[in-house]
Amino acid sequence: MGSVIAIHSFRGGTGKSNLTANLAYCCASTGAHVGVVDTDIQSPGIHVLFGLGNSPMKYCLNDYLKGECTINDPIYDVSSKLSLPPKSINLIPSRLNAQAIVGMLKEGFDVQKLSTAVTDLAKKLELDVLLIDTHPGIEEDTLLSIAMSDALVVILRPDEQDYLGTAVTFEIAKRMEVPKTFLVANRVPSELDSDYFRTKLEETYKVPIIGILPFSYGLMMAQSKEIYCFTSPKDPFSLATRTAAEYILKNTKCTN
Amino acid sequence: MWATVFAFLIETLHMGLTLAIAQPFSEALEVVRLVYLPMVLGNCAGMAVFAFIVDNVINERNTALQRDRLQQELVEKEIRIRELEIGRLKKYSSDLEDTVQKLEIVIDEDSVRREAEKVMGTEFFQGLMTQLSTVKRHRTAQETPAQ
Repeated sequence: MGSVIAIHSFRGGTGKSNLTANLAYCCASTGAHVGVVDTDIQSPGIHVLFGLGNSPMKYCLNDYLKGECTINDPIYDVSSKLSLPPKSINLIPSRLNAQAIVGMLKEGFDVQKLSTAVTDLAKKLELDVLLIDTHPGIEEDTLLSIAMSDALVVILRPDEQDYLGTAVTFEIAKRMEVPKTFLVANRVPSELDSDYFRTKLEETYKVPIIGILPFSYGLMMAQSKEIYCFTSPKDPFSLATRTAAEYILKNTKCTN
Repeated sequence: MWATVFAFLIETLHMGLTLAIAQPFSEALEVVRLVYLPMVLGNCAGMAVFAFIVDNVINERNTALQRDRLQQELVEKEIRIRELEIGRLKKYSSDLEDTVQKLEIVIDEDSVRREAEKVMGTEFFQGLMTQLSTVKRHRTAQETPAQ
């Protein structure tokens, strides 16, 4: 079974879903079989990046967790949209539906069920890596996603509001015995000395810094309508994301 | 202009002296009558040309001096502009360095532990940790046959 990797940020708006989608594309473009699960049921959105924003989705993760379908139902192969071989990227989206969200939050996630789903998915689809796009902050669903991961990638921006929460996330991950933890800095202005920033992050969090992703005007203008690493592969953001993806593939138990 | 007048006066003096000194006076007067006008015109023209040349040389020298002075002023002004530009760039570079240096990450370790403990002390977290060990055992059991 491949690696289960949770992509998390303490605060919203860090570019977590965008990075998850781009990491998935970069991993898949090396030949790996990638799964992407959107567990951010309070504000799901990664399906928009994969071009399913306006498509009717019959089943979603919400339905599976409520026992209304099997785990085979909400799987969407989005590989062809990115000129990749079939089954390269399999997306399990969540549904943006206020009633569904309230219901899920009230009932809570079933640890065993979600964990079994992840394991079954990874086996069924022969995944090399399964990326979990989590809900920001430290809430019950987030803890659950982190708990069942083989690796945790935390994203922060160069912003005072992110620093303490990121440290708390790593502290909790340590207690949960998450095997590997990584940090990615996103939206780093070009005026900053990235080497200096990397050193400060390493000194502060004592985890591998797998990417210093520059602020990208092109990415902002893309407005989450596309996978930027696919449409603009030479952009500095895309190059840094590819390096981070290669690091993840090499340093998690995935052997692809 | 004054040089031509001066040449006319000198030539006239020259002719006056001829009349005063040469003998006999009638022959001297005849000679002066014949040569006075050509000599005055010739000398005046020569003096005008000579004065024109000298005047040009003087003007040229003054122009060259003025040009050198203006060039010197331009060079000085350009050096001043460059110095100002370098100063401005140095300040910009220094400001930029200050921005980088200011990007420190300060975290209070006690706050981190306190906040983490709040989460880890919840009933949900305790239950999750219990379930987690079951889940991990389950996953390990599933992976073992494949290895």
